[in-house]
Amino acid sequence: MLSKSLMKVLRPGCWPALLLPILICALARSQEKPYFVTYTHDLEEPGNLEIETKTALAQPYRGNRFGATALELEYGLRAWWTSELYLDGQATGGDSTVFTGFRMENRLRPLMREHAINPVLYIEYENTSSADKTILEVVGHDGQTDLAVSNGVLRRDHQHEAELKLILSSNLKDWNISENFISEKDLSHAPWEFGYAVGAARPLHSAASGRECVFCAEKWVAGAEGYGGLGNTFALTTRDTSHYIAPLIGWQFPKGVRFSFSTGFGLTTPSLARVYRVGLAYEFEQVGGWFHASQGGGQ
Amino acid sequence: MAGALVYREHCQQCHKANAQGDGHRRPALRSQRIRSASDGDIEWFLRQGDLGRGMPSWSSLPVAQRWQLIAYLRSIQ
Ligand code: HEC
Repeated sequence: MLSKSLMKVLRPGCWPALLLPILICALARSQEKPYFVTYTHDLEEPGNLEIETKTALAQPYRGNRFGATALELEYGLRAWWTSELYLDGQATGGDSTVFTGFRMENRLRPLMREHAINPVLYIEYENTSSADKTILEVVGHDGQTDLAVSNGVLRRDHQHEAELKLILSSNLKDWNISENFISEKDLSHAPWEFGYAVGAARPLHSAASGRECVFCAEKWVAGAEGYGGLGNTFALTTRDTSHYIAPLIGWQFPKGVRFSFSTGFGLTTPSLARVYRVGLAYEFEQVGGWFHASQGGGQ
Repeated sequence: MAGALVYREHCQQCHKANAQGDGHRRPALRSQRIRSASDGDIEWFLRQGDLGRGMPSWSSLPVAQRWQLIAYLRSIQ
């Protein structure tokens, strides 16, 4: 049933766009968690560049189904500082395919030591149109009705937004537990909007088997994330806000691509009924070293 | 040995294939310092990392894999 509704969301024309990242990606490694919305305190290793695509597929009530992809370039500037560029686009059935803008983000770890709870500060500048449907965060009163409007109308509305997140994250035994508090503000007008994301995940098997294997349990990470809006400074309430719970699974190819998948279930009337997400990541090691080889790069 | 695979996946890019380090800031892991450190000390250091000097924290690796790494580091001294 799940796959049938997924097929409904995916028109045949969507497949090339979805498969392209697989062709681009060949080798990768990373021990990151398969969250789509929640951030952990894992930063990119210094000198490494990760290229990741996150695709969201959904259909708003009385709207056309859409697929929206964010292409992320993530670079470890320092062990405590990761910088990221996002390029967003979407295709809406019976409508059009549009580039919806870019986002630049920095994540900083203020504490050099590992603690029971590790804070990370996240600062983002966003220059996107209202046609952005990547749903990489839910804030304020974001809801499915915003996503049902035609691209032609949505594209006219441009946003210059600043977003701040406080990421708190803990690695306890084999579990990761993360909580994010989100505040976002359009730079040209009020109000501040708020949101949250929480996640928990662990590998299916914790010890490495010692052989190159594709499907063994240690390559899989399973968990869930929940996220939603918390209103804004005009109406700090959860009335008319969207909330989702999304079981997720991540798969690390032996020397390869990191793949993740989740199905988000909308919990309130403004929420989309379902959001399917597919993620693919490829990590280039020590890119910094390409430019100053004798230094070993990055750090 | 399982630790060798985990090493190749996560550590080799900085500490190099035979753990000789990169001759700059990434130290060799076949050293007197490693030989004289206790397993507990190394496990603590892997969990902590030393972010200020470019060694990531490996707290996100499953506990069992950190111990497999230590067994591997011991085996190559
Ligand atoms: C991004 C590069 C990088 C990666 C990846 C990395 N390290 Fe390190 N490591 C360093 C640096 C830099 C230092 C030196 C830190 C310092 O001076 O305190 C270091 C120090 C160490 C030390 C202490 C050595 C000593 O003599 O004090 C150990 C042990 C170690 N690393 C083990 C590992 C293991 C095991 C892995 C894989 C899980 C790993 N490292 C991955 C960069 C890295």
